[in-house]
Amino acid sequence: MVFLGLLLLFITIALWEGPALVKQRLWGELILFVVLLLLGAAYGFGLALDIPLPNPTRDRESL
Amino acid sequence: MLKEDRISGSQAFNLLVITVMGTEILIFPSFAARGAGVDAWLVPAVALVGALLVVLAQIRLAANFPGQTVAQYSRLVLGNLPGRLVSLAYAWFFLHLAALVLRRFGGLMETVFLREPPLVVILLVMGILAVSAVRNGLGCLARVNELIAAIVVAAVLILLSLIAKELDISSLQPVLAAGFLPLLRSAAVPIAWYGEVVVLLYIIPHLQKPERGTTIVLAVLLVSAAFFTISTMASIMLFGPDGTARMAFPFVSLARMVRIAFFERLEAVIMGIWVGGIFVKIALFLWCCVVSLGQAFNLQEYRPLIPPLGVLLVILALLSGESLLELNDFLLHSFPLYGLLFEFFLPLFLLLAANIRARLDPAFPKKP
Repeated sequence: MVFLGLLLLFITIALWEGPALVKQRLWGELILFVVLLLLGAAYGFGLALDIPLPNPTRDRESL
Repeated sequence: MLKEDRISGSQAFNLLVITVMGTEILIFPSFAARGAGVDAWLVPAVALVGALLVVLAQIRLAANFPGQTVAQYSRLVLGNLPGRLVSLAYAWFFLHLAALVLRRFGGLMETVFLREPPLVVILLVMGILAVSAVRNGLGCLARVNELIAAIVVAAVLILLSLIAKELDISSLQPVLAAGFLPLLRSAAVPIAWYGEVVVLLYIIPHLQKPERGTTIVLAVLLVSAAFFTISTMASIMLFGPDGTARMAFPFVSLARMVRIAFFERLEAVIMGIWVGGIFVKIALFLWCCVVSLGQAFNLQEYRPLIPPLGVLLVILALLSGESLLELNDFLLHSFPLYGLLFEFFLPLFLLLAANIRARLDPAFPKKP
């Protein structure tokens, strides 16, 4: 259920911005866009599945 | 696309005021009281002195490179690759700041108002709002903020004057019984809070009259310090240092104390107004993040990056602590150094590096 929502979210974002980028041939932007989206997806699904993920805030505390 | 967005001096002032006061005025008294006890109301002033130094570095840096943001001139100063890394670092910093604000907002909603919805939902809604705001550009955000800042400031003033009757100045005594040291220790975090005007590094290039930047920033700091001082005073006078130190959101409790005629439960109104301020703050940080990112990679269009960053924002916010206690802990211990790194040390470093380069190479700023 949650995965469906997450999936929907990321697909929506991708479809919203993606085609415009491709049409304008802005490849740099596209790459960054995909990278960020995948990062978000990875973390999003990870959170939903309770997979242990690197946590920037916690890591900073150890500094 | 970036540069057509010009904002006026007063808009910049409003943006910066909301940035500094937005979240902190809610919790300042409890932080200060924890470290300084009954002298907590002196902390804003003490922190102001430190903050002036911090902000001085920022302003000098911005003044040396008119019309450009940190991302752009760090490439000039440090060379291409290190410069891009600096921009990326700032992008991360702003994202993280925004996430922290968002998390605190979520915490506020959870503890005081919306007990039912899961945290994610609250954060997501705010995230979506912020994303849409950033998409519309800085100018739009600045204009919306004119209204929001005015309302927020008015609300704070009205609230403080309404509870003025119940205050007892003698509760503030004895003054400085414990000496200066606790004050200095408590001032660490607030200095980093004042330092959040580092967004000025990004706003100043957009000013219609950049030379007014210094005045604006100084005014922001003074106004914020005044508000912090008064609200901390009120909090201590009403609840005492121990009571204040234990509160999650002293300002909310202050709002609860208002009982005039039928005006009760004012904290709901205050919070409603505050959500606006928090929204602007988050959107502004998100905007700085996106701009940094775009300039790090020399992108033409940074708009498409905003939604994924919004998602990352919410995720980061979720990761930022299971509870407010954890968040506060992080704030107290890690934030001063972490915040000042980006707000002071990095600008200082860039400033020194630029100076050195200028001395070594007379043609310095003109190089591409």
